[in-house]
Amino acid sequence: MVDAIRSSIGIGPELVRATLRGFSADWRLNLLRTGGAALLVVTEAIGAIILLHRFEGIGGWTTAEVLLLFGVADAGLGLGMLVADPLEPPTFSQLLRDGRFDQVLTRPMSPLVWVVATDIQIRYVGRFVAGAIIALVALVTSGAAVTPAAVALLVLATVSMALTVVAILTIGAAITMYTIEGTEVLNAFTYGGATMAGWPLQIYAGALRAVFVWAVPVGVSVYVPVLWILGRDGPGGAGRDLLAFVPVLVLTFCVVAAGAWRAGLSRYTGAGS
Amino acid sequence: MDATWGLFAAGFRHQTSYRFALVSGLLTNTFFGLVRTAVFLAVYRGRGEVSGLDVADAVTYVWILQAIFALLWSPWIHELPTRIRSGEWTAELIRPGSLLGRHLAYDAGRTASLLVLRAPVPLAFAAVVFDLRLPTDPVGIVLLTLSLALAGFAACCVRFLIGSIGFWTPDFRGMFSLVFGPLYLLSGFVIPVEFFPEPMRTAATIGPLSALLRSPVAVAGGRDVAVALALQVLWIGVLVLVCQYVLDRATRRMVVFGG
Repeated sequence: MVDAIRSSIGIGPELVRATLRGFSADWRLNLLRTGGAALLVVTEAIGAIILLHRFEGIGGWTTAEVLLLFGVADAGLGLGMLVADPLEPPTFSQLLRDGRFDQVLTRPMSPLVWVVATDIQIRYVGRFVAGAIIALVALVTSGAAVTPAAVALLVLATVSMALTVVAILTIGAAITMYTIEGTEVLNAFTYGGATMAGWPLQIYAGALRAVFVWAVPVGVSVYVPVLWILGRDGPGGAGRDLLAFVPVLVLTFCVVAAGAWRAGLSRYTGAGS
Repeated sequence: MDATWGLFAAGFRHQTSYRFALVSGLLTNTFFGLVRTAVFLAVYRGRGEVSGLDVADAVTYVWILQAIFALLWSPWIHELPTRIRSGEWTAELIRPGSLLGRHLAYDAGRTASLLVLRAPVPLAFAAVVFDLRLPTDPVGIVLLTLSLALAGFAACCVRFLIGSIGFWTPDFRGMFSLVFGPLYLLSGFVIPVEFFPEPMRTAATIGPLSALLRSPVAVAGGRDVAVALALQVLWIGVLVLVCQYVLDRATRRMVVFGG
């Protein structure tokens, strides 16, 4: 295990570089798909802006304040998917059924690093960049103080969201090692989680809110740091006093995901291919 | 006619074979529906009608959207351009009858299967949990079903048009990703078209994309039912003609790759 990790640290970046070099061959297609991913985020933002304009905000939050959540959630999702897209159930399921994963297991390196490093989907950069730009514009127009602390909180929120997304997909991959067939249900936690985190958490019913604070920390990752940036208190059960818990909850969730991955690997018996 | 019906039935059966995907798709739809419902309940707090819609109309919009989302943006949207690129599509050229007719019949069968299996569950769930504006009389239910079916068929045409990008470029995925965002927004899949500013609102309310979501939502809420249904029929007619035109152009210029 230790040897595998040590050798992956050397080979991982090399695999990533090789994968990225592959994009230059197909740069037009990749540019279009990256632009398309950004456009999808922008059209959703336009929808949210039109809606919030009609209703003059939501739950006491202004359009700029909501867009700050929206931008951070999408930037985090983009960053997480950039890393973990190959773990998405349909893709990972195909890897298992083709028997390619069995070959990976014979290599003297971490299979997780191999799977992630050899299939990077550059188009998620579009989602990340569009989300980050929306968040920065929203930060400036929201009237909040643009301080180094605010920027640090934005980074914390984006990275926490990205780590949570990677952990969700790692758990999904572990489940796929049992079921072989992939399941779309994880989308409720990744894309659905980002959609949910794009709106102020106080609008959700208690049970839904609790799940996304304490179990799958998608909601808390984005919402609580943004509360501090905006100088807001937040509702009971998801208030600003949870800030210290954000890294704890996210890292705990990552440890759970790593445990699930190892459990999946130790039980994995091939897909009969 | 027998062949068309046979293709429709085959398409229907094809889609019923993915049971695991069916259940997880339903759960995902329901989750997105809960999030969207929370957003509308929050913005409507303390308000009556906004842009002609009240909170029940907005929540009904959410669940009609969830019920038919998979019908319109179906998981097999990449199949047509993939088959064009691989050269498999050329086999269609030597089969008898109308090429477009066969394609649409099979696609309509798959869509109908999703309509039967995937649409009723989120709608029934929401009708129990939330205050929706759905018809309760037999005539209203029949009209809503008809409107949903017309939306599904309009979607087959739109899918064919998007997929026919594959006739012009093998890099269809790049073009796809550029058209999806604007299509979602303009056909009302991000927010109800009633909230759009003019003239975007009028264009989305009576334009061709209204056949996909705006019309069935209007029929469900009992708003301008006859107009909504007439618009769907009209736009399907236009879409079929455009599909035939595009197909004729494509067949004439198609270069078959070695595949």
